[in-house]
Amino acid sequence: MYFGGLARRRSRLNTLLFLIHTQSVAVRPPWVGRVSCSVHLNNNMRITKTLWNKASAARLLLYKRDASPPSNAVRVLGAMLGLQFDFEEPDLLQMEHRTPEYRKINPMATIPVLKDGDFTLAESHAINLYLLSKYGGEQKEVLYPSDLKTRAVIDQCLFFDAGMLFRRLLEVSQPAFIGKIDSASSTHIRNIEEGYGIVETYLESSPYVAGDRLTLADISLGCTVAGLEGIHPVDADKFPKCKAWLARLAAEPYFKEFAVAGGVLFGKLLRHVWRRNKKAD
Amino acid sequence: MPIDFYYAPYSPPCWSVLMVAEALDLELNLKIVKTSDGEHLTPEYLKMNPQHTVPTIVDNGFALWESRAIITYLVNKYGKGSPLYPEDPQARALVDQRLYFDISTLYQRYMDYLIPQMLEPADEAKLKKVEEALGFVETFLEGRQYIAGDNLTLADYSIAASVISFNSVGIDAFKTPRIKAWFERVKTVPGFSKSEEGAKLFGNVVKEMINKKSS
Repeated sequence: MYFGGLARRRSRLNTLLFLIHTQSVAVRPPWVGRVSCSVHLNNNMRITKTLWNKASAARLLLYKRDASPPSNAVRVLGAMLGLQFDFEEPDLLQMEHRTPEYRKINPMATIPVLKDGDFTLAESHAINLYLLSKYGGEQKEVLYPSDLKTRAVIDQCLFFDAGMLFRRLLEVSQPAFIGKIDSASSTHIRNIEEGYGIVETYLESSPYVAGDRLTLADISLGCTVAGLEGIHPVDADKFPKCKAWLARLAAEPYFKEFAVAGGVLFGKLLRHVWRRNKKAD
Repeated sequence: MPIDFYYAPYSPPCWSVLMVAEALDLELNLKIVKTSDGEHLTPEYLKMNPQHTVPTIVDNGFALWESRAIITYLVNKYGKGSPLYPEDPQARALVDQRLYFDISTLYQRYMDYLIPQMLEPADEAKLKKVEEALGFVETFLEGRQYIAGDNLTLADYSIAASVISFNSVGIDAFKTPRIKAWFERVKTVPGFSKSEEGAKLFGNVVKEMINKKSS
């Protein structure tokens, strides 16, 4: 249970699931013609080779958007594991995630969603845990070690991401995408900084959030912070460890490509929507 | 050595830990944290848990918080092989997905509805969002006896801890048939009565705070 200030909570806008909630009906089948069957070529041939057969045994389909931090968390892990996905990209601005067709796949109308054969799974943290447990190979022990304490701290970080940090991003993006706000308020910024402050405490005595090595926790939290930077960048004076950790992550393969680029794209999209909302006033 | 359990009896996330500990027959050394007296903000508490949340456990010097991380740790450590947290990747993935759904959606929307009421009138739109989240739970139960399959898992404990206090604050959680039937099944699990006691306390705390606002 979190004992946040009431004043902050009072002004907090109603937060919704992912990005947009309004009563809008898209008539046409949402992702027809939008399927991009990207083939992901890996730089790391060793991993690709090791996992190729296993990974390609079933077709992995990922519903994602490039500007969605949780989607990018799955893509960073997928690339690290040498997994190949087919992609579908519901247009959230057009409410394609809220159609009856999409709700059959995921009643909660969120992205990302993974389809592995006939198994469908929503929620980025659960997806990453699943992909690692099923296709992780040697990376399983590296990214989600069997040592129970380390594993528990990773889980704690993942729940912190789902329950608090990522919500700080949704608090800004959801009302913006439905036309309600045209900037981040001082409360939004304060909430985001509170989140950065907690990441800073996780980095107090170690270079990564759950210890000396990069784990699943860094992938999820890193993607969220990269997205939050699109709203309010991490101030190196206030959060030096968080800033240094982001730089460390950006040096990792795939992180720059998906998480950082996705964060920039998210920031651009948000500003575009803010401008649109300003004009509409 | 018993596990130190720092908790507030009225705090919903604490109940799932109480229930899971009882299911695993674990002894908890109960340490009530009086948040009204700022006991979660003392230097000692902050050293243990800089996020100053309850529940927090200390297991032989290892401090851990976030109730859902605590219950998975307890099963991983003290209930290896337990069906509460199955090891098959797909079965476990469903449990995980429900746990993340609970923290980010069900419990979150519940708090989004409830907490502002301490300062302002209830927002019907927020109640609708809670009801929508309950609708998702109803879909989880389609063709299943429990939240993540036909066996009781950690997902049931976590979601039960969220739902159990709904009625005490005036939300009807049992409008739909599957949740209603599921809750009857969950009522019989070990430790459930402790949560019910907590739910009553929670209802009283909430009512008291809402009354203070209007007086």
